[in-house]
Amino acid sequence: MTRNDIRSHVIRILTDDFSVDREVIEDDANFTATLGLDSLDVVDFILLLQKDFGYKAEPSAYHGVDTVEKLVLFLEERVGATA
Amino acid sequence: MSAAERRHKRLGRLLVRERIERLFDAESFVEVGARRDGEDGVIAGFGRIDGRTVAAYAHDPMVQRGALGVSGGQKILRLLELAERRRTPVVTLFDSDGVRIEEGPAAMEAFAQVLAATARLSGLVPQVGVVLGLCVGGAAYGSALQDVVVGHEDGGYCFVTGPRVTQIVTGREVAIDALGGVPMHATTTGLVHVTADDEASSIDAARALLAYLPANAVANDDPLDRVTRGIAAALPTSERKPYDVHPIVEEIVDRGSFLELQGAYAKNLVVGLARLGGRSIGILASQPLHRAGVLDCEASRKGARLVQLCSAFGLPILTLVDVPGFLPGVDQEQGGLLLHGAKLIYAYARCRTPLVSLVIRKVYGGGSVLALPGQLRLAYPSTRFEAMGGAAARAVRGEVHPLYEAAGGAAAAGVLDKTIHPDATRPELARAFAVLGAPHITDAAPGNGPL
Repeated sequence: MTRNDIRSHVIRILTDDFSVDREVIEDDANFTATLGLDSLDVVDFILLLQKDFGYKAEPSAYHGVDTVEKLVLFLEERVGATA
Repeated sequence: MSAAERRHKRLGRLLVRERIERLFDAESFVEVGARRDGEDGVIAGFGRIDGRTVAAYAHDPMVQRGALGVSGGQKILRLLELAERRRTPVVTLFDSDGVRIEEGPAAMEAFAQVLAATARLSGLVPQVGVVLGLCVGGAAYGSALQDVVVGHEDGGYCFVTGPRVTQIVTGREVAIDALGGVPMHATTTGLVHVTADDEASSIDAARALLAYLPANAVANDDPLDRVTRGIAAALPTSERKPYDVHPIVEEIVDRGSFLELQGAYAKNLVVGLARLGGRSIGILASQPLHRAGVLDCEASRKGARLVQLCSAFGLPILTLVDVPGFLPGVDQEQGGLLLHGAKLIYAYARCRTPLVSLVIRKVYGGGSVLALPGQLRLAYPSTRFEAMGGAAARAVRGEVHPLYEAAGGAAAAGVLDKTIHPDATRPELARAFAVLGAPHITDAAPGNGPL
């Protein structure tokens, strides 16, 4: 899975499962401030990421992972992206 | 399908009608106050569980995240009123963001009325809550008013105030799991009595619980005169060595019937429901494997609530005692040990159902609050019943009166009624409960309020 594949899937979750407009999803978009997820959406978002990417992490592991770009890097480490 | 529904299904969650369907026997559900638009966010009605009529309502998380407004509140009130008249147990499937803020004070009043009606039903009909998703504010208090709470450990959350507001008010970022996750409530607060790892199992657990409440009897193929050889095998030869009381409980009750409550909370006291000769009973048992089975604030509170539950719903209580006393310490005393211990004493003293205690190995000091409420008190032969534990007694008094040291001394003093052999535990208990007869039920329902 390439970095672009990871990014595309993250975007798909945000649009399909959380009704976020594709246009506002930029790399530096903050999940809560920009994309409008609240703390409970974030719980579901994490569960969907873990389900779709096949990994498990403690809630504390996501500390500071608040933008699309940071999340893609976080997932790259977990699922081992290829170039 | 909306994005929220899609997400819900992708995470393995059931839609509200699927939850109701799972709860009740097939095709038995009759809805109350059905609305075609479903905009009140509540499904309510009656159905059958193992053939018995039960009322239930479920918040619909797809409608404003299950937040409750005036019309939803009125629907629940109507259901609870019918449940009171028909004396049917009530199951609540919680998944609610709390009050509908946009409906303002009227919605707040509706929620307050639901909570008050829930409290009024306490002790009158069994109330089982299943926390499947969010349980915020009023809904969280609704869960705390239940007799028994089942929690979905990967999706259930109960808190008075959610993470965002908590962060605004306290200035600290908080993780939702720490704030109110079901595992936290199962281990730290004791709010959640039974946990399950998915929604279907959570709902099944509620069905299983109602098989014990109120007291009822089922067909039993485990003979009451079964020799309980496993008990002696489970007890260590050294009196100071810890052991796990679970196998002893399992050996005593009808095979496979023990349903532990609050198993992850205050592990030094094991509590739960079981059957003896097919009849529902409550169990409290010292657990020497954890903190030597000592009574502390949490264990006292846990035990008191179980006694209160059994008293409300007519279940006789068996208390298995192996207790070194109350836990000494500044933390305990400042934590309200007196008040929590008093809850246990009070609950036993006010209990309306037959009480039998069985001393397995020892009773020291204040730990006698577990043994002495027994209207019949049995003991195994090596029992020690002392006003103070050996080492502490020697430190205080210099030497221990021979009465306290002697095995069976308490029996000689008339404090214990009978010494029995572990192998004969089942028939002895059956005889004891038979002698004590039916619960002493008066017209006044005692309630089963939160402790």
